Amino acid sequence: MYEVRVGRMFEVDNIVATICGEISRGQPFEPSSINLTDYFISSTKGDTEETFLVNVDQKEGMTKTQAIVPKYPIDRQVIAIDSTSITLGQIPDGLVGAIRASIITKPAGRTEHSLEKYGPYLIPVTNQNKEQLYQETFKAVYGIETHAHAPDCSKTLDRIRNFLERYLQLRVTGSCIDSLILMDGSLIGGTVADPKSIMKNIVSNSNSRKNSLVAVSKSTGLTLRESQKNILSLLDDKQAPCYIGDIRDRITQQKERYLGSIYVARLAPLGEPFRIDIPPKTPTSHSEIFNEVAGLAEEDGYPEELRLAHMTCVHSSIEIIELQSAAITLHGLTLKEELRRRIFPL
Amino acid sequence: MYLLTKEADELAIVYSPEENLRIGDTVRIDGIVAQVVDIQFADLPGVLEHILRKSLVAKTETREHIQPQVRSVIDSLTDQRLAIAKIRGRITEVIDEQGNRKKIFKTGLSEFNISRAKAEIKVMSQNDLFEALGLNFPISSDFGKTLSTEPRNLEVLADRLGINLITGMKGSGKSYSAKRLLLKLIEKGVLTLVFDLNAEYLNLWKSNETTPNKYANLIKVFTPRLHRAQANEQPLLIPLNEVTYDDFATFVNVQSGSPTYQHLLQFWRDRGGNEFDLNDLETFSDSAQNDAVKMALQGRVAAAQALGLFGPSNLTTTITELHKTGGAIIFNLAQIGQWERSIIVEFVLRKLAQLGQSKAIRAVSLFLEEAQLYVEPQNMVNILTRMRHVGIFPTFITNDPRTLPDEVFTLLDNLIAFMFRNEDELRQLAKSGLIDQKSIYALKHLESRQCIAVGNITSNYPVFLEVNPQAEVVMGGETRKLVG
Repeated sequence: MYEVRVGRMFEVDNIVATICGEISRGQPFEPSSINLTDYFISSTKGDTEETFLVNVDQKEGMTKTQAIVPKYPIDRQVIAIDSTSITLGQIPDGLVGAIRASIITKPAGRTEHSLEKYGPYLIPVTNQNKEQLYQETFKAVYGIETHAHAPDCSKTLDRIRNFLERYLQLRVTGSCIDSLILMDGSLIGGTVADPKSIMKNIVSNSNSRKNSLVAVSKSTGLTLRESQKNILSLLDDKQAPCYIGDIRDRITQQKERYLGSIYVARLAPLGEPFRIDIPPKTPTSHSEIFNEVAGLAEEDGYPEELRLAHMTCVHSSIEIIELQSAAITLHGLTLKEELRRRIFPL
Repeated sequence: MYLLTKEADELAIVYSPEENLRIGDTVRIDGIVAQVVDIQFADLPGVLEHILRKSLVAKTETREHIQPQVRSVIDSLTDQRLAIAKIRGRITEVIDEQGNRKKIFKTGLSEFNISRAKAEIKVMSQNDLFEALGLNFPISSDFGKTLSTEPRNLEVLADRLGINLITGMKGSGKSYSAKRLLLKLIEKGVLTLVFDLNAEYLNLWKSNETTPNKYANLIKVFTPRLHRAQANEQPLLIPLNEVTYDDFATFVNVQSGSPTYQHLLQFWRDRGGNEFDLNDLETFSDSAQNDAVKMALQGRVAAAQALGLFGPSNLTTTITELHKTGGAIIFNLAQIGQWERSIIVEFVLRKLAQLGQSKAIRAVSLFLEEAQLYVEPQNMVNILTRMRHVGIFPTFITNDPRTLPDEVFTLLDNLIAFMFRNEDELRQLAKSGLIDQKSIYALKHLESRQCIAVGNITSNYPVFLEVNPQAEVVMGGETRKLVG
């Protein structure tokens, strides 16, 4: 069962205190252009995965697909985690951004959902504070020091978002029992932002508590060596729910960074194919996990709980304008009109 | 607050929830005066999507950890308000006869020179508004208080009453307010006659079930068919010569054209305009030659005597006496039939007209609750057009304004309107021309005892107000519950 935490959320005050720093007041602020009629304000998430080649001969027997029989996991707790970041505007030496994370829970025996939202948190990232911000947040989340340097301000904001998401994943996998835990992304460790030891912790925590951890990617850098096509193309001619893999052993470079078995799966008839990472040696068979995840999928094949986690953490255009206003007030910023608008008023 | 649009005489003002604004408030935009008649959410693009996204998971199942410094800003844009305000006119400065500068209110707007970006929008204080309207309420005013960000007590000024209408749906507080107005008029030394259809005004002279209040000596109740006077209540008697032979025949159930009817006609004609009573009719009956007619007449006279409606009346004396001090005469019409009501009302109106014409009285106020139930249309027009010339000022009180003739709305001097939900009734009120339809629609949102007053009593400026409670008076009028 999910840890009983009625009325109590995960403790994040320490992280919030670390990331929501102050900057010198009176700086000019150029808000990002927001159109209220835009329903989805796009924000880039995560570092782009490098392109690695995969040796899969489509004529080989291993490319045979396994059928999925969707089964709604009514008796199992389902938890989905996602996070988002947005740049609210530019300041002379950086930016002010906001991040938010969501945890969606479907309790065992029920179909309704509950939601925990962490954020929005206003984060000023400048060339002057980004190193300290990055390293202190890394330590606050993972409990270890890093000597890595912060990337540019925009990427640093996304890394901070990633740290918050990983923190929540660590807490969820470390407190839940016998749950289906859905994450957005993949199970890659050993990157600058995601130390291998931490990712291993997430995986081992999960397995020891009989959880089924599933990472779902809408896109991937893994590419078939012969055809130079993305691995998602492996299911191009398959329309019924099915999966293919594990293909991790066929990855030609740095495969030790991949901590899970790697599959390509179509979870709903005519739905989109996704890359799905599942840790090896799970208490429940991978085939059974696929059946349960497919049971949660809507027509487009994406699991409902992950969709809810995403939709509840993204910032609406209304919220972005509110947050821009909050940033101006909180940091004593002065509004600066966008140069293009000033030059081309109509 | 920012001015968003102007369409005809309507302004749309955007403001944040922290800026207090409520229906009834008057705002001043540079020189322009506008009154808030409706409040909505500002319909921003993207709000629907924002709300829909929030509603994906039930509010009860959602927990949030928000950065404390950001919390107050979140949802502030979603909660932006839009006030719809009607342009009422403008404030201009004039120099009075003493050479003092004075601000006065003028209706109409021939020019519109305000900036949407720079115009300063301020809620006008009720004191400033009333001063500009030339409304000088005494400090002791307590009839009601304005519905505005800063409420102010006000009074219904008796010298501004003319033809008045108090209306509102059942339970909206119209009768309560009519009674408050009645008591105020007594305090001003005005005599009011009330046709009380539901016996609601009978106990206004009591502070509780057993104790008289300060109005006790000034309130008299006349009840038909009452056999002897008790406390402030006395029998309402109509002298027989005040009704026609036809009315009497109807009352005692004599068929028109029958020999008995012919005898009644002869009795009335013989006496011309002289006074007579049931004793005279009894004597006349006894002298009838035809035995059948004699018996029929004697039986009818006995029945009329038993009912106790006809007899010598002291109404004239009561009216002239109370006219000197101010007071109220309540005609209890609750437990009698339609015919008797009409007879009584006609008698009272005739008496009032006579007293007015002879200048025995200068002016009186007349309260008519649901007048359509006992005043003939012709008499209604008479009340509206002629009686005010002899000093009779009617106040109609009804829960359905559609039952009143159009003349009421054409000639109306003052309207006090309480809550209505029915749009037909709201449209009917707009016929008065005292207030526009959009403003009158604000009545839909009012609570019990809240109303719009407009007309001479408010210098024709619609004032939203809440009628104050009355202490030390049994106000009555509560609807009984089926259970408990």
